[in-house]
Amino acid sequence: MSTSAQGGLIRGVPTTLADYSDRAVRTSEWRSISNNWNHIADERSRTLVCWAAESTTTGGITNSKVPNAWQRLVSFGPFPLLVGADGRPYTVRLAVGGRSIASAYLRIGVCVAGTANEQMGLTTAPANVLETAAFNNSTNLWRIDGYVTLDAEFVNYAIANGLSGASPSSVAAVLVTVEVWAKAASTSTVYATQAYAAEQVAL
Amino acid sequence: MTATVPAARTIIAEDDVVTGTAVRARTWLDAGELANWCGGNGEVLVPAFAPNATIAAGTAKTWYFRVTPPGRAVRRTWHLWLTGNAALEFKDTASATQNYIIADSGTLLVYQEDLSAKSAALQTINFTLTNAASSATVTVLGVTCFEAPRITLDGDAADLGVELTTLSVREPIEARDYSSVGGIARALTSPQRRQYINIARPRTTTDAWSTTSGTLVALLVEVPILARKLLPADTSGNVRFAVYVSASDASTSGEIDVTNDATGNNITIAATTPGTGWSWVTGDFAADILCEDLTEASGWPDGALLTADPKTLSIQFRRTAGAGTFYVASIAAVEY
Repeated sequence: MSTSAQGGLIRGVPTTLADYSDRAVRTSEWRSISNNWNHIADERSRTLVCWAAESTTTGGITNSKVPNAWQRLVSFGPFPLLVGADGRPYTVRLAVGGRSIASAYLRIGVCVAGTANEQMGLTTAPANVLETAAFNNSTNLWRIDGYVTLDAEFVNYAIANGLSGASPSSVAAVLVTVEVWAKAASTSTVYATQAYAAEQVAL
Repeated sequence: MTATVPAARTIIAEDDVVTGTAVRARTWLDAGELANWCGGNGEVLVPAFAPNATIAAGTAKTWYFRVTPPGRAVRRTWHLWLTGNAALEFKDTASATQNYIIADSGTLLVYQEDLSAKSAALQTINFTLTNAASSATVTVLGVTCFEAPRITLDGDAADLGVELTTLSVREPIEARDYSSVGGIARALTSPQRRQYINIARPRTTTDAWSTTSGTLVALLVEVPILARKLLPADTSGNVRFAVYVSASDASTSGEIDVTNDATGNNITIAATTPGTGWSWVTGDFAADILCEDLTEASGWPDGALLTADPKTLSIQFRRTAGAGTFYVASIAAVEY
């Protein structure tokens, strides 16, 4: 949900200091500035994953290793998520797709870094994981989409705060990976061909 | 300088800014912190994708990406997910290198690219992976690059950091750059644009997408892009596409078609005799790509990607002149 009163930017707000000098600045201008910063922060959200299929019938990553068990196909990240005013990370909208030559499942999940092996392989998908219905279809298609919200688990994340690696520092960050896993009765029968994840300010 | 970047965003209490009432310092402090938070969290320059490309022992492959950064980052972080028992060298845009040993079960390669200058210019970034002669074949499964967050911003024209101590109780209200409420207004000019896709293949004629067909063939299908919402009534946004092209000879030309499945509208990006070198061609898709709906929890108009109304894009290419092969090595989409 938008945190700005107008749900978008208000145009015509002066952004050079000369425009504010030697005059009384109207209340409406300051309200507009406040509105615009709230909206900019709402839309500061970022596209984390955008992997598109290259054809309708080929490509992708398959479950080549183990039959009848959840298997990681690819891991993206980790990413430091934006954190909202309530202390929780921004919601992440997700989608995953692919094809199969036998009944199969795909999962896409957002996992705090280091927890994917535990959470993605659970018998029942936890709240931070989306699971497709069983599908047996040889066309690359988006199979499920939705959104998840995590609890904040901050860790120290090493950064530099100056050019050329100067000022080594760390920030408190919620580090997550976006995981794509699959399960099918036989190996090499299901392919993930596309995935999507993007931050979204929470309702 | 204490233009610090908070770990969590704030929300400015707009209803506290009313005529006839003094605005509390706390309200402006929230505004200063929010401006710094927006400036200090970097952009994802290469949204993650899965190249699923292999690198044989003793060979190297290079991926190229087109980006328009916000211009405040001092470090880029590359994260690659790889498999294969191998010794690798990673080389960044500036040709700095670092060596890694990776395992067959899957390894996260982390490379920190420290920048020597801040830049908001349209630019090409790249990385090269060289697999040692004694290694097994490496498979590159996941690639992403993002700007590392900052802990403080500088009080200059690049960062537009707001000095938070000047927003404390009893501090005077000033119209100064990088300070007080004047700094909050000034920081509104800081770029916040978003990168939507950056999907690449290694830049060789054997790895790149290629065609000799005069009929459009698929490059990418069902590409999900949601533009950043700008104005209150916006339902669509502007997206610029950049495509890295080449040809097998001097007389071959090609074009790239981007069709918005939501509207049926399309743009065509012409690549007229690009020659055997590699060059970027660009096309703007103005006010047509669906933008985020902030009344929906998912952000998708209608609440979901998978509804009866299509919301994705189709990207195709073809040869338009000559008798050679037309190549594409990278496709990027960014807000403009």
